[in-house]
Amino acid sequence: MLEVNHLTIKTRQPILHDFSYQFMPGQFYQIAAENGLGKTSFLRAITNLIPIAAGRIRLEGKPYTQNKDKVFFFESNDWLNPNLNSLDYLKFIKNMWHSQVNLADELAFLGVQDYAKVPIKKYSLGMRQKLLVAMYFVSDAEYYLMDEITNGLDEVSRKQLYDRLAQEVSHKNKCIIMTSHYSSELRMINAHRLVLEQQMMREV
Amino acid sequence: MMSYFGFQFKKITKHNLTIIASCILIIISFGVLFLNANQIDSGESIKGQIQGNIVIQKNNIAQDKQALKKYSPTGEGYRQTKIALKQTKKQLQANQALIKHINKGQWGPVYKEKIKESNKMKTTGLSERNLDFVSGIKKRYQYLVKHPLPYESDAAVTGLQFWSDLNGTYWPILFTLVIIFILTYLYTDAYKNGLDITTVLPINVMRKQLSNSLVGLAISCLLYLLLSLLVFTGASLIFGTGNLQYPAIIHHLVNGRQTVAVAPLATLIPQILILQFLEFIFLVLFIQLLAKLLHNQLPTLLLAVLLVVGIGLATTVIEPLAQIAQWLPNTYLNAINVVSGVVAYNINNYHINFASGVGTLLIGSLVLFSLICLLERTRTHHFKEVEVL
Repeated sequence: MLEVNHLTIKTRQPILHDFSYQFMPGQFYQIAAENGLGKTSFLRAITNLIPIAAGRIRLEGKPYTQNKDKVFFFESNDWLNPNLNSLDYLKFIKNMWHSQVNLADELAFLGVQDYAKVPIKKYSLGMRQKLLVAMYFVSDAEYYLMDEITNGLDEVSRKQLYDRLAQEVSHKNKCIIMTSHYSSELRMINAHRLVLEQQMMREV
Repeated sequence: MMSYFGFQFKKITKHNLTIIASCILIIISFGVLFLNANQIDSGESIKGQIQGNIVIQKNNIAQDKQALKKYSPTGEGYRQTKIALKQTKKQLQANQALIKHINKGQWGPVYKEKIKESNKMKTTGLSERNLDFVSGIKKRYQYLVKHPLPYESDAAVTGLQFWSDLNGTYWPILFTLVIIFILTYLYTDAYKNGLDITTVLPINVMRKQLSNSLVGLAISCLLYLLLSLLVFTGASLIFGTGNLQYPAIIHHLVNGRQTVAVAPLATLIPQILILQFLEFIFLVLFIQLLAKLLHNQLPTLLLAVLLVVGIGLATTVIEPLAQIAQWLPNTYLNAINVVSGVVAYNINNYHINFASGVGTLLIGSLVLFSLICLLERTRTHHFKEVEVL
């Protein structure tokens, strides 16, 4: 369980005030907000990328730093090194997260294997985003923190992604927290929808 | 830890910057070899000088023979010219004999002749630096008489001489710049929008720190060894390997007085490599610290170049810096000139030597490592503090 207690986040301006919530395994959470209201900052705060102003975050009873291998968060494809290729990233993640998944299967999902050895600098936005998706599944972490992951994906890939996420939640008991824009269509049954506005986050 | 090491290593080996920078360095290095080789061909070698003298002496003999025809055989002019002609012929024979010795690879007589020339040289009125220069060359000939080796000091073209020449001239700046570029790229790649994205990796802070340092060090050492091997092999294939026992001119203090001496290159190489290795450790930690402070590639690069290369060069021209140069890690960028005492001699600071280099670089690296750990600790502490609020 990812437990957030009285969380307050301030960057240049206040982002979130006194938010408490429990993100449970085997559940899918969508955090929706307008651009610039702090969806990404919330995920960054959970993963210690930015300091929090107040509150406490516990991952299965421990601070994030002691349970990093249970969470996978790769904010955007801007984080990818353009000189490396998909295979470099996927092998690295598999080793770092001590994942048991079959790399070939994950490369085949969304078709990353077609360009697995091509440097990332030659990828289109969609190809980079598919790699990002593959990285989550290769990590096989218990918690996926996904920031607007469907950006740049075509319709077919989006459907494949949602189907796979549904399987990950129901069969592998994963906890998936996905941020998205208000207008984004969510195709998950039994998803928890949280809305972030005016520095408050609440489930709707 | 190995996965992280390998991943970081790939970032450098797969980056075009590494390949381009290394290629530029190789091109410049072989450009220097080409220029050095031209220097020999243009008559600036011992053989070239003797051959030049032979040409002049032959001309003089021809002129003297013509002059003899003009003079009366009983006149004073005839007698003087006859003596001069005899002397020139003798010198010509001596020079022709030297050329034969050189062609046969018998350098002993050549060195003895050069020592005689040095002894005859008028040194009155020469500056102290010029006197040291003459003394150094004379001592080199004296060493070579005792240890007969082919002459390699005309221009650095043999494998070993060329490698040591590059290490004493171009590489301390050029190679350092290449390493700064590569390390800056490696250590600032972890920062996106000012955030350390490696924070999300399931790896202990100390292990990550250690891996980062080891990757930087491995890349610096590998690149240095590869380039050294390449220039050595390249020069050796064309001009021969050279001899490890060949003397290098060194400057050191004897009873508190600056003295010029010679030492075989073989005795200097271990110290050169140790200093170079320590300098790499220092650079790796220094650029890591800058990256951690600035979180951005360009400011890190700019500051690293200014502080490492800029201050390194400044010590040779700014008097107050020269006086404390032994405490500046930048002074030891030119390891070969530190070990041979050339840096100490040039800036007149005899505290600069191999031992001071080891001490300064070790202390400097330790200070940098402590600062990096302190920064990490401050960051972690900052996060922990908020957590319990």
